[in-house]
Amino acid sequence: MRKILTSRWFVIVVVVIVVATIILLGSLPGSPLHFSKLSSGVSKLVTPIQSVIKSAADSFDDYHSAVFDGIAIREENRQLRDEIASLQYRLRQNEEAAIRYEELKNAFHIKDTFSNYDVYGASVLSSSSDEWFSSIRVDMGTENGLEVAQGLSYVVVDVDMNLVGRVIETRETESTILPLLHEGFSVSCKVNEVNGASFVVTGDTSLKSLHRCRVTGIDMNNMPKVGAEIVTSGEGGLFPEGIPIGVIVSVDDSNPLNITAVLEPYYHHDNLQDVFILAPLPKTDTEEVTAAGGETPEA
Amino acid sequence: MRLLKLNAIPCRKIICYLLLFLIVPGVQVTLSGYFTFSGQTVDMTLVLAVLIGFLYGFKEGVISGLILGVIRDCLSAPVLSGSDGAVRISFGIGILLLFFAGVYGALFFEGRTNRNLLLGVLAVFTFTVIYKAVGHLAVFFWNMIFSSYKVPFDIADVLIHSVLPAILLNSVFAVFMYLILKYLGPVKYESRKKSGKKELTYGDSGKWLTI
Repeated sequence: MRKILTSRWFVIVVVVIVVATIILLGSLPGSPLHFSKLSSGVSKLVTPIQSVIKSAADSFDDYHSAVFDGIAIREENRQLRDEIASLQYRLRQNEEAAIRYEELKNAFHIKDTFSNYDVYGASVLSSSSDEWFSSIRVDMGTENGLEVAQGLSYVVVDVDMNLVGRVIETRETESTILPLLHEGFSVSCKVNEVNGASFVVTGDTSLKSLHRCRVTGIDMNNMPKVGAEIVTSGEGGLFPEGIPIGVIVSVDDSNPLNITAVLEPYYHHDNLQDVFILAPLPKTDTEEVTAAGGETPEA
Repeated sequence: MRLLKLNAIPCRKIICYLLLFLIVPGVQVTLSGYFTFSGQTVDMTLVLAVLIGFLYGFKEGVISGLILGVIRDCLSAPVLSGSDGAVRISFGIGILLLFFAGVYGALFFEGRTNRNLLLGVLAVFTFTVIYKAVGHLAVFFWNMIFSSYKVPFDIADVLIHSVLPAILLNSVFAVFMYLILKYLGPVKYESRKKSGKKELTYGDSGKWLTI
């Protein structure tokens, strides 16, 4: 008996059975297994080390830039000074237009893309560790007022306001983001033009390593062109309308009943250091009444 | 399996493993953008688990694999799409993967030849190939069963954009990691060198032969 218990194959079989059971139980809907406390504990242990690693990498980048990019930076600086002068002139020109826009906005109840959202800035703690299943961790959690509940999630965009993904889990000090490239992600979208037809963008395992996504649900009379910009359509309620997603790089219309396209997202996970989480503002009583009455026109 | 007793483990070993287990996964998830090639990222924890098993034997390979797997799953949680279409944060895939990595490293040419750099890199190389092949096949069959969109399995595409870049990155990192483990690792290099024949008894079978 002792020989069996100490044999390598026994150890391997026992570990495989135990871990496989944990994976299966954890994947079931309404699973009783929760590992958020363990994850938080490990994160607390590793986060200071990650901060040191990150600051070391930043220092190296700064040193590298200081040594090698001096001439380029001087030239860029000169160009930026010219650009600032030009922009200041345009800003003065646009101030009057902005006042006029605000007046019209109030008059016609026009809504900005993010006007009903609180925008939280967050730093990326960890990105993908493998090709298939990975998520992104950011340093913003329930302590900051984020709480993912049934049917409620948060949209995540990068510093250029391009779609990155959505929050799927929040813990005390951090959240987990399902990225746009993940095969479990899907969002309703449209070509960025007036009355553009709606499609669905989903992650695809076969395109993930090429940093691309699949576009499905395309109508043969409203096919997007290669190079067309795709934005969120606002259908479904989670993603506000007009968030840029990416551009179409190819369209496959060989099967008229199943036309698909390939999209290259704007965001790039290799350069992702900071993101913004859009949390819907709580509805005021007046807004709830107008929404129920359906009298508020939306642009 | 005789359990490792903490008071019987040298201080150097505890400190080295602690540093490796915290720093390597930390670097992997923080600086993955720096170590990419053709869309692939170097899998540092996988390389470390294979090499620990390879150099220090079955017990240490298994324990290291399990610990590294837990840390990997906590820091970069895998997200799985269920059969109902909902996505859930899973726990255990990293543990299973790195457990196998540790076991594979320990069993790789066990008792047949001496442990050296070339063989260590070969262990990482072959495990990466197996991992990628199994992963792609699993994803393919999963899509075939559950996905509405059927993606044809393009072997050339998988090789060029996934397997080959991953092999290259992991093998290069394996050279670096092997040298770290050999000279700054849990077991003092000089002591093995001085003890003559002991250098040939890496692992726990004690049956290594010189090439």
